[in-house]
Amino acid sequence: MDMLHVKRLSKIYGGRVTYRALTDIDFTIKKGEFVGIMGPSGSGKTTLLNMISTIDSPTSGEVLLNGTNPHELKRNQLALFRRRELGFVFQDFNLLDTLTVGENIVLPLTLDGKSVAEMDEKLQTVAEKLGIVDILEKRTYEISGGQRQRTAIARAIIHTPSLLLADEPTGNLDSKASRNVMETLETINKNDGTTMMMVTHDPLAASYCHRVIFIKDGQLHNEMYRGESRQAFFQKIIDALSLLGGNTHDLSSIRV
Amino acid sequence: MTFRQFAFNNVSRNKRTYAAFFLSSVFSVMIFFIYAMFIYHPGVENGEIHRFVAQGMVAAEYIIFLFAFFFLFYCVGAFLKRREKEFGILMMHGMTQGQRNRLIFMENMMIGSLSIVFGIGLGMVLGKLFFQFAGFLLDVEPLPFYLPLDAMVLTIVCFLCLFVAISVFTVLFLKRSNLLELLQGSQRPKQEPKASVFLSLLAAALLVMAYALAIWAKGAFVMVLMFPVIALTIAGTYLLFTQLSVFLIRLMKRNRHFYWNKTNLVTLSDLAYRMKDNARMFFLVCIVSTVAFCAIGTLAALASSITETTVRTNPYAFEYLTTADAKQREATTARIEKALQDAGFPFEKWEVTTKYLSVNKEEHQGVSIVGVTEYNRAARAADADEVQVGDGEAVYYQRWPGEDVSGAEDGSLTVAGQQLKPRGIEGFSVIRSLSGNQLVIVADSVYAQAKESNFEHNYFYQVDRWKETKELSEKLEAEISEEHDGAYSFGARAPIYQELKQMANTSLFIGLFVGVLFFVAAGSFLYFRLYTDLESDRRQYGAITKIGLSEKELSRIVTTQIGLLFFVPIIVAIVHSAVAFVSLNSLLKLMMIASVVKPTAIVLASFVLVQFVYFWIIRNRYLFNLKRSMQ
Repeated sequence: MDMLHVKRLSKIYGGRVTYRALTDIDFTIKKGEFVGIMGPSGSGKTTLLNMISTIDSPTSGEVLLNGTNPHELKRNQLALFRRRELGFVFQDFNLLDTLTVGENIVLPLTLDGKSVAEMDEKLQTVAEKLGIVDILEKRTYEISGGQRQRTAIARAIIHTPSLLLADEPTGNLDSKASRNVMETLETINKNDGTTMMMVTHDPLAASYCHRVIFIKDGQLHNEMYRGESRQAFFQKIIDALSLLGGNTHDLSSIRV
Repeated sequence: MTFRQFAFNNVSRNKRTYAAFFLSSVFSVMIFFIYAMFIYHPGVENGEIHRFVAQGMVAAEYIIFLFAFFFLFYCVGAFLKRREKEFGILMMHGMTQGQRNRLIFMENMMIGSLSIVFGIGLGMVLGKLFFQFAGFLLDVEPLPFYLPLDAMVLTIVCFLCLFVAISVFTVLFLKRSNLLELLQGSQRPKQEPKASVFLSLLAAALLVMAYALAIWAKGAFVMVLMFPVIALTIAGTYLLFTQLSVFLIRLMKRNRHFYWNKTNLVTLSDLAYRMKDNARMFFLVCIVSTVAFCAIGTLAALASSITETTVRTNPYAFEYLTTADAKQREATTARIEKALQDAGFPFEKWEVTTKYLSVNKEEHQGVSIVGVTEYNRAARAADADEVQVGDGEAVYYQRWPGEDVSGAEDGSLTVAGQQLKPRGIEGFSVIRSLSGNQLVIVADSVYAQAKESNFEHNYFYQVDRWKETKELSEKLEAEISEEHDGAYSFGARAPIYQELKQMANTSLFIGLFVGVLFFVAAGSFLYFRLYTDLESDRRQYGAITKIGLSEKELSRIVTTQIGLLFFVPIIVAIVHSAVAFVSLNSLLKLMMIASVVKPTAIVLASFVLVQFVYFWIIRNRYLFNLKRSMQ
């Protein structure tokens, strides 16, 4: 069953010099799938994610999530859509400093006006799943980068969204924390069947996906499916990246 | 965590960010409350304090309220701009417009209510001090402290309305920026503002024109030119900051020996970059400060020259003019003298006789004439200038500033068949005419020839300790009016002095507090400005430090920038008000106010001093924050 359907999506940035960031992107993501998007710098990965996450709107083409095109929704409906259907994980975490870890996590539920009892229950479940029960009372600046990203993931999944979107979730983390975060995402995907889409530079992070889509110069380049072995998939990704002609620094994040 | 708790946590855990806004609110509430406490004071309501004072306070209250509204509105705006990214994150997680508005509303009301409580509390504490100060300035017994329920209700109601209005307006004016922009927050690159050469030149031209007009205007002309000059100055100042300053920075950047010299590169490029945001704030601060300086300077001048003014407008401690017969005159002068003797005031007495001439048939169209020797005797007694009068001359004094006396009273005066040539003198006569319109000084021979027998008798008393004679003169005034037959006029200087003094001191008192409010507001504008930029500064200086910027150099850059922020508008304001005082001086001279230079200099100097202290504190705090966050 298709969860996300992207149809002929294009984005042109206006201004003095018009710039074509994405051209006719077509792909689908099935329910329960974990898809990575890779490509060299400036290939349009983040633009694509921004279109799907409704942060930015496309010039043409459409995004269908469970059959709904969020770009056609009214402002308030869009807010509700984000609140219920989407979860976000950012490279720089985007946690609110004024709130504790626990409060940050329940934020989507709070905005949705859920009862405190329900919020507490869900918070416990999700915190156990991510191993952050001990730090729920801490403030965001008192915890490590890995803990922050796990907090962000908890916040992104507490309302069981249809689609979890992640933008370079390991970009600000060391290798141990990266591995930890990716394993967490993999477990959530496997156990809860949460559909995920992740934009990344990092071949190691990408190797946790079921499928990786490569983009180059705003167009779909190819895609690869993971076989049995993650190790082999990792090697294939590196080969594909060098074939893509990405700059050498794109490969510098090899940590194995 | 419910939504309400969320709003509460947002405020309570982020005290430092909200502190500036909170303190500004508390301060506004406090000033408003103290004034209200004064207005509703039983002592004021029962008329122990002059009506005028109370009315002035009410007017000040309106001004404070209006100002508080705009000031706090600005604060909220500056504050929300800082939090763009936070709102971006919240919107990402599905916050609706309505929820955002509710959040802003709840936060504002939370801070508002708290600041009302604190403002009133602080006002109660400082109220006693305020009353003492008011008593001292107004020269009355300090008002006793009381439980100001009315004032509390007024303050609470007014400021609740104010905070509701501000919340509603803020939400209405909130830009519907898209999510991408919000998330980028202050990282979003700004455009460097452009300046047009024409507008830059226009700015200079407007200011030069305004200054020239202001300095050139003399006397009553100042009033006529006031509004055009103000309009020119405001337009010129706006262009000065938005155009001319950008233009000047560009010129400086063009000179590479200067621009590429050490830290100038960073300072100047940064300055140009931010000028657009700064310009509007510079303009606001500059105009607000100019108004405050001018108002306080004028009021200080007014208050400091009260004694001098009263002495010059009322040359004698007591004066008694009459056309009554000798018996009545004797009775009245005896009464005055006895009262003075009984009260233990030594006095000197002069007597001068003038003649009334009816020029026209109509009443009060005539003049009184006095011989020059007699007049000069009186002038000596009053420490005023003596006059020289030629044989065929008639000397007129001005009765009001700017009066043209060169051809006074139909151009000619005939006394005993002799046509006199009129001559005008600037200044005031020490003798008044009781029945006539004008007093004319003539040669003694001319006076002797005048046949009219309508004598007017003037009795003058000089008392050294005249300031203490207020009660005495009021009593005398009542007694004389009771028993006197015929036309007379009795005047005493002390009551006039007291009234003038109270009025001037009230104005100063009100002006000082409103001025201080403006001043604090101007400081807060700057503070908010700095803290909206802290985030991007942090990033920028962080990056430069990595290249190799010593702490000393960082301090120098920051000090220069904050210094400019603090002193550029103030310096422009000082220049503006200095020019304003030059022309005010000639206007105030007409109002018998001696000099505005000294009181104004004191006012400006103390403002600059306070500003410097303010600057130093904020600079240190800012540097501290910057360094700490960069480690």
